Amino acid sequence: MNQHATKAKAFIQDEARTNWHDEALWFIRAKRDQATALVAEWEALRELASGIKDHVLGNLDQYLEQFSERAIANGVQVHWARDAREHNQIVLGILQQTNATRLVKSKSMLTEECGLSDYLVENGVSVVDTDLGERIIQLREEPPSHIVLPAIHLKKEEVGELFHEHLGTPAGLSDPTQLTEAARHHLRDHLVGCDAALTGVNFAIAETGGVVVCTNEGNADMGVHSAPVQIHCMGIEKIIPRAQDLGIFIRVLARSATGQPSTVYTAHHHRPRPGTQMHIVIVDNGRTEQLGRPDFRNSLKCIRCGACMNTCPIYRRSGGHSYGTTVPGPIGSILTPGFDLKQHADLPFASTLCGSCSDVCPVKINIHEQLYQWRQAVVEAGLADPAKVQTLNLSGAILAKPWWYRITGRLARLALRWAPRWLVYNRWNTWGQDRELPPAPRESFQDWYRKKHKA
Amino acid sequence: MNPSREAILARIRAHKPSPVPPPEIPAFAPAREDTVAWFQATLEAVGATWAWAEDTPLSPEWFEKHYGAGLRIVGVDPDWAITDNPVDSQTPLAELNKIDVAVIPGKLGVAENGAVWVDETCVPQRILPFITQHLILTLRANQIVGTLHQAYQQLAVAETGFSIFIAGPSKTADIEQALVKGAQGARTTLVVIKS
Repeated sequence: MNQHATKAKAFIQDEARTNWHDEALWFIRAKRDQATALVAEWEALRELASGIKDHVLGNLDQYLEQFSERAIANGVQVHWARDAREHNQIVLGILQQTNATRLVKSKSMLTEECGLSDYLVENGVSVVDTDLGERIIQLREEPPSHIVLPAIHLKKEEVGELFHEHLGTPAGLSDPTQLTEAARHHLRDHLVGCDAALTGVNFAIAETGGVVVCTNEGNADMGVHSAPVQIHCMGIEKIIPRAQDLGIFIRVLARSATGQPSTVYTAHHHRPRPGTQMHIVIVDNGRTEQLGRPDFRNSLKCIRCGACMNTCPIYRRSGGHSYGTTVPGPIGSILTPGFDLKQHADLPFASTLCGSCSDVCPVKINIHEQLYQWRQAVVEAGLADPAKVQTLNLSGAILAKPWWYRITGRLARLALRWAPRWLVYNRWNTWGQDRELPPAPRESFQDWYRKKHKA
Repeated sequence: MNPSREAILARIRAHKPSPVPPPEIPAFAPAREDTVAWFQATLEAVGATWAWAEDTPLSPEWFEKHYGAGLRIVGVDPDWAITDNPVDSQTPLAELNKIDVAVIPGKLGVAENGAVWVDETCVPQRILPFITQHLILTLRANQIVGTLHQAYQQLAVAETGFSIFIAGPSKTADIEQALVKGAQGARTTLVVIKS
C-alpha cells in the first residue's frame, strides 16, 4: 500500500533528473502527435482497431482454436499455459528437450510478467536479453521502467559505467553511438551462437496461424533465424482475425509508440525453417479473469504501445519503477489490480484522472474511467488508505447537511487565519507538506453572493 | 486433450462478452497520389537511402566507392547476380556473419512507411537481410503501393514460412533517446528502384 506514492517521492528528490525524465517522455509524446497528424483517417483507424478488438474478445475462444489449428497445420508446436508457472515450465521443457542451454530473448513483456528469466537461470539456462534497453537493465539486474523504452530512466553516463564494467568499454565513454556499437558486437556474439531464441508476439493472426513481431533493432530476427529452436510467447489477447487487420494495427502501433510510421522490422512467422523447430506458447495468467469483468475487460485490447505512459503527468514525474509492476503507467494501473487487488490497491490512485491516456490510446481503451472504477472496487473491498477513507467520510457527512457545511466552513476560515502554523501544517495535512495553502478568504462564496445580490 | 487448453477455452466461454460483428474496413484513399516520390521521401525520413537502378551499376567500382574496398558482397537478386561469394541454404552462420553488403530483391514497397516486403523465396537463408552489415533492397517502381492496407490486400502473408517488412536500417534510441542506426541488424539500407 502507498508503494507508488513512497517510491515516487524518492524519485522526485532529484529535481533536475525528474525534469529530464519528464521531458524525455514528453518528447516522444510530441513525436507521436506529429506522426498521427499526418494520417487524415487517424480517428477512424482508432475506432476500427477498437472495434476489431471488441469483436475478438466476444469470439476469443473460436479465434484461439482457429489460430492453434492453423499453426499446427503449419508445422508449429502449440502450447497452452494457464499461469506464469506453467508458461515457465513449458519453455524450460522445450529447452531441455532440445538440449538448449543458451537462450537469447527479444523484448517480451509477457515473459517479464511471468518471471521467466530468473526461473530459467535457476534451472541452468543462460539467458541473454538482446534488445539494447533490455540488455542494459538485465546487466543492472532491474526490471524495465517502460514497456517500449525499458531503460528510459537511465542517463547515458550510467550506461557508460555499466558497459565499462560488463563489456569492457573505455572508462568515461558515454557517447550513445559508441556504446550502441559496443553492444552490437557483444550481442552478435550471443545471437549467432545461441541454441534457442524467444520473442514476444505483437499480433497472432487467427486465419493463418502466424505471429507478427515488430522490432526496430533486428535482434528478434537475428536470434530467431540463427537458432535451431524458435519460441514465441503470447497472451491470449494478441489474436486478430485476419491478415487484413494488420493494415489497421501496424499503422497505429509505432505511430502511437515512438512516432515512427512503422517499426523497422515487421516480421511474419508462419513455419519453421527446414530442420528447426517453432513453438508458440499461449498464456492466460489472469487474462480470462479480466475478461469476466465487464467494467475492465476492454483493458485486454491493449497493444502495448506505451503512449499512455508517455503522456501521463504522473508517470512522467514518478518513473516506471514507482509502480512496482511489469506494465507501469495508466494501462498497468488498470491491468494489475485485476491480478492482485490488495497488492496494487494504490495504483488506481496514481492518476489525476485527466484523461490524456484515453485520448492517445490507439485502441480507445477508456483508461481514465477504469482507473476511477477501480478506485470504487478498492474502497468496496476495504483496501483504501484509511486516512483517505476517513477524510472522505467526514467530508461526505459535512457536505450532506448545508448548516453543518456553513458552520465548519466558517470555523475553518477562522482557524486558518488565527491558528498557529504548527496546528495547520502538520503530518495530517498532506496537501500542505510541499506547498503553502492559499490564504483563507474572509467570507464564503455564499456570503459574498448574498451581499452582491442585495446591492 | 490438453487440459490447459480446455481450461482456458472454458474460462473464455464463461467470461467473454456477447459477440459483436467485426467492423467494415473502408478503402482509405492514400494521402498522396505520387506514390513513388512519396515512398522515396519516407525512405529518407526513416533513415534509409534510395537510388534509381540506372544510376546504380552495382559494379565492383561502385561498391568500392560507396561501401569501401575489400568487402564481402553477396547478391541474390536474379537481375544482379553477384557470383563472387555464393551463399546458399547450407552456408554456415559464421560465414554469413562476415558479409558486408547483401543485395536482396524485394517484392513490394509501401510509401507510407518506407517498407519493403521480403519473403523467404527472396533469400537463400532467412537471416541474410539482418546479419549483413549493409543491406541493398531492389524493387520495381510498379511494385510500390501507397498504404499498408493496399499492401496487405495484395500480399498472402502465409504463402511462405517467413516474410517481413523492412523499413530502413536497424536502429535504436534506447540510450537517452539518442537515435543510433545500426543497432543489431543492417547498419544502412539502400533501396534501388528499377523504373
